[in-house]
Amino acid sequence: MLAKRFTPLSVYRTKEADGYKLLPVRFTPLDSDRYVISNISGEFRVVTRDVIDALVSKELKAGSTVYDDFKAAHFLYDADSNAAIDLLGLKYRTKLGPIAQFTGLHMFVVTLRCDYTCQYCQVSRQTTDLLAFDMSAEVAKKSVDMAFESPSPAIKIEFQGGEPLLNFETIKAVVLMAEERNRSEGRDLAFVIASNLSLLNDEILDFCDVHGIYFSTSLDGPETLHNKNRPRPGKDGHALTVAGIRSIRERLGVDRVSALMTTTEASLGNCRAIIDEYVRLRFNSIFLRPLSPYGFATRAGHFARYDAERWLDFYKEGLAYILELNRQGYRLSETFSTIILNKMLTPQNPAYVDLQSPAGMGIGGIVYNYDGDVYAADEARMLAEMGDKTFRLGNVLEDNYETLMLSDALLDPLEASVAQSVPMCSECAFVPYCGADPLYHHATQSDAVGNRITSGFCHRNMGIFKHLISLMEDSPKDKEILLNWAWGR
Amino acid sequence: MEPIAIAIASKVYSLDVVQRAAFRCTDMVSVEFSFASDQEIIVLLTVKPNISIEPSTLRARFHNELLDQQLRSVIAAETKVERDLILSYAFSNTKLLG
Repeated sequence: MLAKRFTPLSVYRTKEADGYKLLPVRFTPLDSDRYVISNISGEFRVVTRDVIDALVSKELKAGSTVYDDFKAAHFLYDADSNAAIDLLGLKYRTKLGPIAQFTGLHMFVVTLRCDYTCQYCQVSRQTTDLLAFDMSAEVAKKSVDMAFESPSPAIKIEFQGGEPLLNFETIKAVVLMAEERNRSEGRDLAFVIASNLSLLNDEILDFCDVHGIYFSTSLDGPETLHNKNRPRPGKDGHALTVAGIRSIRERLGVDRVSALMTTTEASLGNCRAIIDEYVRLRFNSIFLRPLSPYGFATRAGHFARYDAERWLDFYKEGLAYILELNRQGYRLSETFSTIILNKMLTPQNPAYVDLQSPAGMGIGGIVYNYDGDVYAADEARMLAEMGDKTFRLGNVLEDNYETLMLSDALLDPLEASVAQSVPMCSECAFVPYCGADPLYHHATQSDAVGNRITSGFCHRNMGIFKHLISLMEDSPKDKEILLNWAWGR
Repeated sequence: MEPIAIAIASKVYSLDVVQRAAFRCTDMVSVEFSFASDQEIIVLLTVKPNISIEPSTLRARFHNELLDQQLRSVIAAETKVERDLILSYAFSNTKLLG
């Protein structure tokens, strides 16, 4: 009975006989034998060059496996599939959805003071006795008001430093002000403190418990490496961070603290040891981050010491080990890969600031500095500490929301950051998963658009995209694990 | 290494395609363009200092880039209407369209 409700397949095949038309596709070599071809919303296939030639020269045979696959992937359409354009428009619109929600992440730099003396610190820091580098009550109030000017239904306030717990009074004031304001606003309000946890105490934990505050900490690996990267008087940074992680988990819950690592030259030969430390501390994700070209990282010459290629080797070694651990039964995901896989394999867009087009600066996240200056991104204030205030949007004490968000310091780089119109990006099969990062290219090439031929950002991301796709093509076991990461399973 | 001159029949590849292909080789070479006649584009590839590459390898890479760019050019021309329709649908009912 059920079968009669469907029109026979042959009817559709008849329509296909009239030929097909191309849909917008991009292609990029994956390796010496294979290409990646993708459509406007990021659906992709791995094929040989002759298959692309056959597609473009209209030689694909209706009814063949590759024809049906390309039709399903919206690389072509025919008389039977004229809804393809509407569907692609809908998929693309879904991918762009987070941009329409506007700024959700609001970073409050409550102090530049820090108890650490990290040589590569990406945010210039002052010594602990300089109160002049703390956010005042007036700046804090104006910054909260500004955050709620954003139309985003979700507002996440992230406290940064320096070491933000050195100015916990301002954190408390901001949390209370924001919660009061939210009684009438009804936003999805969340708080995160980015801290080294060395100053964590019961008073802080009590407050964070009551107000549902999360912690994000830095963990660069095992004790020797962590303390080398992050020196503090007493040389006990690692022990304090680990103790802090345990305290938060016991008091607030396992999910209330996450850790981030920064890669330095010393990290490069310690990939497995770093991952083992995350496993030892029972983390289920690790972010193999590259060192960014800002702040002291550039001044001390650290950035030049290893290039994107060396970092890619580190990343690939780490990813191989993480996949091996998963196969052995320990669930551990790599965060940057997960973000990319989510963009590649699902209809979602995780709106990760560094991989957005247009860039996430200002419209994805915004920074309120201790002195009231507003920056388009965390990296923008790092540049400002080095004397480059190109991406300073204004000051909360002098400007209103409209003047900040419509400032040339924001609109110009945003215009330059639509990857789909950047030379080389415009024809790259990976552009649906990538971004343009005008800050990075300004910092490294003195040009917000930048030249992709010499761009470390492009080289690094292309390397990751190709590696992830190759793993999925060549190893069914790895593909299963990576699919689970993409879908958050 | 002496600069490498490559003659391109403009009936086969447009100047736009040739320039796009050359741009992708600028990690290794600097490029000059000139016309030998109405029908021939001359591309002069000068290998940058500290770059080591065989002339035959460079020629092969440039010709492969030409093929890729030609294919991209065909796709772009053939799908212009579809691309505009997809984008207009994606941005419909938003303030981004006038």
